Amino acid sequence: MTDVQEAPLLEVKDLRVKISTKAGTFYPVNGHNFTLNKGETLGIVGESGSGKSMTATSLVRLLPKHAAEVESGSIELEGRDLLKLSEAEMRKVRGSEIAMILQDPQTSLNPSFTVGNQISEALSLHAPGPKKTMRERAINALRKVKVAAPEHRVDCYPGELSGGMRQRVVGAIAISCEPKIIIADEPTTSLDVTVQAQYLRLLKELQDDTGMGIIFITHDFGIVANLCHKIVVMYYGRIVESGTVERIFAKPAHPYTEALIGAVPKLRGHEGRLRTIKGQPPAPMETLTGCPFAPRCDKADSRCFNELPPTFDADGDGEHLASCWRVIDQ
Amino acid sequence: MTNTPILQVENLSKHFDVQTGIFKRETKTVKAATDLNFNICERETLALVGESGCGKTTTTQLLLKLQNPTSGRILYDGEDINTLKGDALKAYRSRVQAVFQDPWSSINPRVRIGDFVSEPLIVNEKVGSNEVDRRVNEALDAVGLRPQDARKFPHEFSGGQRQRIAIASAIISRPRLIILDEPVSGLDVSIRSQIINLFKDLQAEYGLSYILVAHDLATTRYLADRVAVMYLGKIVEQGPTDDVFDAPSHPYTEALLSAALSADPTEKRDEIPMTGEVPSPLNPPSGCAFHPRCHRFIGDICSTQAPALRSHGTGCSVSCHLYNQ
Repeated sequence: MTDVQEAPLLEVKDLRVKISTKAGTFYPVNGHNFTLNKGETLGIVGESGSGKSMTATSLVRLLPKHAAEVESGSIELEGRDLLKLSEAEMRKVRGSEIAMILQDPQTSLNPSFTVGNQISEALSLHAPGPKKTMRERAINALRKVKVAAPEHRVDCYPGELSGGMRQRVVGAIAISCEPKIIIADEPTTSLDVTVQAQYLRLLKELQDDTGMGIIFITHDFGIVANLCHKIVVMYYGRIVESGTVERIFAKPAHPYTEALIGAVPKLRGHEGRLRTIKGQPPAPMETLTGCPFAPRCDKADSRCFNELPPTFDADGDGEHLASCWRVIDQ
Repeated sequence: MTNTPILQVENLSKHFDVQTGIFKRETKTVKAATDLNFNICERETLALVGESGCGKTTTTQLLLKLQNPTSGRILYDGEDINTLKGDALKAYRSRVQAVFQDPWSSINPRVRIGDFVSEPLIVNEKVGSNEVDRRVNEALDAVGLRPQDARKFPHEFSGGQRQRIAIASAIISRPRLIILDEPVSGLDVSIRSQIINLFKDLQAEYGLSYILVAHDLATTRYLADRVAVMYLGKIVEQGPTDDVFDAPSHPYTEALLSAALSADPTEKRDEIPMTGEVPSPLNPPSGCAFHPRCHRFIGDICSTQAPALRSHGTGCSVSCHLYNQ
């Protein structure tokens, strides 16, 4: 973690994303506030439909057109508000300043172009150079993600590579322009544990070398516990708890976080039954007054059902925030 | 726990011939499962773990009799399942059931839940319609669904409920053994723990045995009594789950466990870096198949001689030259 108190790399303030459909409007990102510093890893955790991926795509302005739009807030990358940039300026930010690694390497690579071709495509958009050197630069990018025999692999088609290797190629494309931030959306869900460990180690090494910030979108508490410095827990489009990994795992302030952590068995052995959360996450258009988690919460009282809790400072030092009435009741 | 095995697997192998090379003239053999030996006792959960391509799925398909073995036997109550015919085979099929990973693709979207759940009963057993309805209600109740859900279609349910439906269909024929192939990996965290607890409850209530295939090692540890670690079609280590997880003997088990991330920031393990990926089963390495990636490589013996699976410690067995001296 960096000790240097400089301006954060990325600062998201009060971000709201609106989805309008015939059935009604809905906010998959509802009042987000978080920061990411240089060399830091932030985990955005939540279940499917909680709005994690919408948060990620809104940062790089890749939200589904016509359906979703940023309604308010700001996304500042080193003091520059990305929401105020033109489409052409934003295109330069994407890839060269903020890069994305998507979940499925199978679908994010084009099967009919060679790996080298696809890496040079990204390079030529952001750092154009003579064609002759492109191949060399693609090989270098592959070498950085530790692909064995990069001179040979650069001419391979994605179908000739294993899943772990393909995910490395996607990583090579993402880091080829030396971005300041990498957003990784469930990058290892389709990989074996051993390959996952290699890949995560690689990302960490790249981060140590370049000081890039990483945003991990995941539902895997193993990744969060081992790789992230800070966590943001999302439920129904809202951040319900945020803070450092150590504090949140040691003393979760929101019942949802607490239950999620208790629901995952520990590798060293788990005593007794696993924690469960009753019911299902709410459907997107459901109208809820009060805390969205209240219907599934063991500790909810009448206030929880009627009043939406604001964000409280759980430990009194601004490092651990939670939106739950219990924080001030204790 | 009683010690009578309900299923005994003896020297089970499955090899596939694959045509490769120019004009597919060359025939190579993929040894998907080689010389497997294990037992499953009543009320016991055996987990098969390993990377993709290690033969876990082939093994479960052999047990479900969806594939026929190249050699070796699977004994159910002492009888070879490959000799079963007619009613005896139907009886086997209703006693050994399966739950698969993806509840969205394992349920026919056009069939009402009641019909889907009752299908194993109608195919394999001769029962009247009143009895069918009663058993459907009983199965739905056991997995935490309501009787009126039988009239609904699959799209009316969430992922977790669909997995419950798949489980109801697996338990309706009162099986003794259920094969769970990645049963919770498609589910959200909060739903996952509900289903894991349900498996435990059903096991206690009906005396079920499970064979679990899962890539999540923490879930494996939580559910399984014994674990068999597979690498390129062979079992490299087998033993009680706690022993294998706390003190792995085979270098592969060691490396595999060290790669797993625990959902607890205070539990940090020293990762044993394993180089490369699983070799192609078309060209398995000579000697011990794990030797090119092994961090405990002891010499030529590893690359020339395949180690045999020998018992090691109490109830464990391991195939590694380290333990053969």
